[in-house]
Amino acid sequence: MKFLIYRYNPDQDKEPYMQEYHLDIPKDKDMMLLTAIEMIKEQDQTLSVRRSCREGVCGSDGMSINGKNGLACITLLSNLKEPIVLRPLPGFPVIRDLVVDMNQFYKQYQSVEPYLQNDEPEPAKERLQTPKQRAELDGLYECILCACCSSSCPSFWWNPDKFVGPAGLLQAYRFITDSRDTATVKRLKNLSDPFRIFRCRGIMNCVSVCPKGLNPTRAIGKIKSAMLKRDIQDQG
Amino acid sequence: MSTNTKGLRDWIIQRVSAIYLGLYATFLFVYLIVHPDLTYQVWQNLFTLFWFRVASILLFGCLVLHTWIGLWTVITDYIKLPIIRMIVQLLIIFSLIIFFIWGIEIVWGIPLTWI
Repeated sequence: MKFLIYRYNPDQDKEPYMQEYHLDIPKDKDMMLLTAIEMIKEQDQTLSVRRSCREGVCGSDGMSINGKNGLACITLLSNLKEPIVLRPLPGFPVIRDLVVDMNQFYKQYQSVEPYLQNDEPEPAKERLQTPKQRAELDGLYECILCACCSSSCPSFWWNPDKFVGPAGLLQAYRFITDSRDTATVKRLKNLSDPFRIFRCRGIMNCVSVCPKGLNPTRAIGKIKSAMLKRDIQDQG
Repeated sequence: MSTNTKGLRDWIIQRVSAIYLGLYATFLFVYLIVHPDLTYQVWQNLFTLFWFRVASILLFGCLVLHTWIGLWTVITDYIKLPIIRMIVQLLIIFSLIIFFIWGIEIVWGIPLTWI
């Protein structure tokens, strides 16, 4: 099986290049791409890649697989056409080979204050939710921050410092819609400039690549609706 | 607090203007269908109607706003050098103003009828 893998070591290489690798994998045997990468690493230990849980939970091994972002650990080789082309997440600065610098991505995540804020007196036990209120969080809290979505978003490529990106906005909505959070107005205001949320043009690349099947575009639409509603209420 | 900031305002303007552009285009499309043997005279008569004239000028206004917001978005995505961005923005603003005035002149340049 033929692999073409992006290689770049800034200390040694003038510019990035694609390196070819071959693996002998029996036709009747299938495996996850990450396992194949581990086998390639046995051939060539200089190849750098991030990985941890190997089961689609930690979000470390996000990469561009045959042109589409995904997690190597939950991508079956049998679903990929040869040669399998692996590149680092697009739009992110490359540290080395398939390892990218996620700082900007995390900064945007941090900027939406992804934690519960409540200024009411603390109850004796816990802040309760109805099953319906709890169900609002489904499809939002499952994000593993692998960055597959933000890295497939042209708006994030061009303005990663100004546009929050789909991952951050999904988390923003996760707290905006949380019945226990009282900072909704502050959260909406935090996103209201022309870039932070409105740079999303709804092309839905984020939805098509999310390895957890989440829908940031829908969350973004709901934040915009919430802003509009709030604005109408304020004026009326 | 008001969320009525530039981001939300632009977003609303772009959507509302898009709806208007869609309605106007649909009207013209239907008009062409119900007038299969359209002559220049009939076509010109449409533009002598006061309400259609107002509707057309409103269309130019929507078009200008819609184009400006759309192109401003594209420019801030792709043109990173401030001086070039400024020049391109000024060119676009200038062109849009010219088109708007020109459009009004065309629509208002023909004799008016009130019904």
